[in-house]
Amino acid sequence: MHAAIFEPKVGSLFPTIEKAPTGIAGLDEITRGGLPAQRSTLVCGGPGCGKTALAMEFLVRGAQQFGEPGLFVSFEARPQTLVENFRSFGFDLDALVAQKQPAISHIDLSRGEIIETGEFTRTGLLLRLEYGIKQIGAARVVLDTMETIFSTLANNDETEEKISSLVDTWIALDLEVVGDVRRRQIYIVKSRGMKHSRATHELIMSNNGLSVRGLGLEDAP
Amino acid sequence: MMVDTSDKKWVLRLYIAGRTPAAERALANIKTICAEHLQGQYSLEVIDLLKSPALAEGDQIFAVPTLVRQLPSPLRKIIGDLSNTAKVVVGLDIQTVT
Repeated sequence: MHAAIFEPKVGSLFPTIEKAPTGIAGLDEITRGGLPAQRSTLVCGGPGCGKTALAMEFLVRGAQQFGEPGLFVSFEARPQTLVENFRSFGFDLDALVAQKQPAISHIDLSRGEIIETGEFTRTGLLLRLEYGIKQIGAARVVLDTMETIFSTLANNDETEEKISSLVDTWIALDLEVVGDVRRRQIYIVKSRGMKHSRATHELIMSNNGLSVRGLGLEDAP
Repeated sequence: MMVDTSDKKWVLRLYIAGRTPAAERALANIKTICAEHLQGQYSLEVIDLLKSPALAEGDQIFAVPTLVRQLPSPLRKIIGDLSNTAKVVVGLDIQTVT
């Protein structure tokens, strides 16, 4: 829709890849235009790194700036918890979610009271995702977190490595706490067929949302 | 006469996604179990999520088939084709009326 087209130089090894701009200051620069459209991006990092914030801002800005409806599928936090967590973040998520921009769908995968007997499939999960996407015509979808899906639904041998082989772009976040200071970092581990910064950048969390700094310092061509 | 438990009602829902072999087996299995243990004391509603995907949210369904015991509370879920009758009977907390 409003996704930017990444134009390669003549003779480039990189084919033209349609991009979905994030609207997050600095992130579109280090990804050379945004996340690859129609493809999956994995964002990984420990608790407090900013995974959920990054994903949510991608959807909020996607809807506001680029007219792309977004669906946030939460396997952990309930919608109310998410809305509360984002109050200090510069987004009136209450109002946005009320207009389904983005829509939040909570899928509880906790297995507490569930008994298993005989053959079953996860079709129910897929149908719920499909229904959620169709309901708002979602162009952007967030699954938070993949870990929940794999730890509850997958066989034990399905490792993070296997997940990462399924995604085209892999972004790593890191959190360093020194005293009262929290420093977050962002690094693009890989991005299939796409040029990107190979440097580690600073990820700033403010009451205006996220931004990425440290641009152009150690950028690879 | 045994102690009468016939005022107790079992409200069951079976979630499926199309008439797959596993869905057919689950339906046949639960019907047999109900006929044997809950004669006249149950209602069974079959919900096909291919036709009504919106209904998956209420009972937080992700696997199919899933049998949900709405009543008596607490809510219980049993996923699979319900081929292990003993497990289903225990899971539903059915006391055989003899």
